[in-house]
Amino acid sequence: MSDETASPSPSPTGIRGAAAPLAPSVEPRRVTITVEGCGSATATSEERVLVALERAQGFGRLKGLPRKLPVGCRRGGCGICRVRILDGEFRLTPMSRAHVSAADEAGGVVLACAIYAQSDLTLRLETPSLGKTRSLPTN
Amino acid sequence: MAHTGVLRPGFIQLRVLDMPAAIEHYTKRIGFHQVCEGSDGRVYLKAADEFDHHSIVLRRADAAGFDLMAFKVREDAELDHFAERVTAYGIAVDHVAAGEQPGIGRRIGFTIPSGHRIELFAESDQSDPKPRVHNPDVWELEPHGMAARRFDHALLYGPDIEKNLDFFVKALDFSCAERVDMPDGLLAIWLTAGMKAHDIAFVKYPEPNKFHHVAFELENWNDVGHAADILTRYDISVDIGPTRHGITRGQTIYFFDPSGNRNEVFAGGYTYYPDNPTRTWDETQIGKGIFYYERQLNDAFLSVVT
Repeated sequence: MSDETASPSPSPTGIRGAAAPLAPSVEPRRVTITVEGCGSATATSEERVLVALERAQGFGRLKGLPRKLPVGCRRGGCGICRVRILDGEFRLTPMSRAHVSAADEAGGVVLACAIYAQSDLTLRLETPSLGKTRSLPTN
Repeated sequence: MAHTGVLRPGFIQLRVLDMPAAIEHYTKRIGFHQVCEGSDGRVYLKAADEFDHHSIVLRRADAAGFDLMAFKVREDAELDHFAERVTAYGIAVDHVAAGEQPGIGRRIGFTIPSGHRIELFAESDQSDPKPRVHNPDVWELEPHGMAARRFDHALLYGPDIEKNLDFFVKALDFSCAERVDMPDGLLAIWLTAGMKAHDIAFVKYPEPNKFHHVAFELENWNDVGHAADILTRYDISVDIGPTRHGITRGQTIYFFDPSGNRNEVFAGGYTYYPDNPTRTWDETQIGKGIFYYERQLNDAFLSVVT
């Protein structure tokens, strides 16, 4: 054990979990996330793209979505929020290889919860069907 | 002593994508303590109210999810007894040498019909922090974070849960405290080795070896509220809650660790005696059974797993 674990003082790295924040001096940029055929969301470069899409859905800005936005763990593990990036730059945080293979990733497939937009983005939802998600490398 | 054989959940091993983020989450936020790091990089955690060496094992991997769950049995000789019974049931048993995990004695392991690896062990070293046993205070080291008191249970998803039910009852002497039967068959089971409403639960799912959540016990509903404050303060991804389960009656929040593995904080739940009948639910009331206040399943309950 470590006394460190009992400390009540929050660590700055805990606020965003696995995603290391950029240097504090960098101002978050405002960007536009376009969901092909569904509408667009306003995001900042310091938030998960999925979180910006959830907010936009709440404001009625993604009216073209064929169904409710697929939201799962929001932390790169469950694979529900698979998307294909058609255009734009992003910063990537860890995501499960059970749901996005290296070949998928090379083709622009990511999990929307695991990326931070660094420019305007255009993407397409590629939601897996229930129980048919990719598997199963565990090492 | 009425309670022999399988006593209770001992430890669970989970895969995480980012080890430093996982350690921070489970220690500073949930309230566990890091006991040690193994030579292979696995990290061992415990709650200060637990005696045994560890109850959570984290393994760095490229995919999140479940490696194994181990139950503690009362005596070493029972490992041989259960190895014979599991083998006789028709499931292959393997043996894990003492020390494969620090502080833990020899284990037996097997893969159940839903595809999950289950292990049994009898012996564990104790580690610090742990409760004092002579003139004990309510806690030896004051709780921090969500103040989790123990690894409580896990819910796992996979096929063939009717076979899991038969196996756990016939080969390991578990009882089925509650079950959900849908028009197309058995959907879910809550199994107990002791007097908690559940030690392990299963929901039917097409893909084997999937993980729904690991649960940590809190003292009461006030602590569930405090956990909710921590979830918002640290921007931890929440699934649902605070709410209550009709099934088990536990007060709860579902949320996610930094790798997307679902966690639960859980308080309350009824006492299950071995002579109690199995409580049953059907498709008309399952919403109330799972989320008692919302009275309906959320989108994620049946579909979001690691």
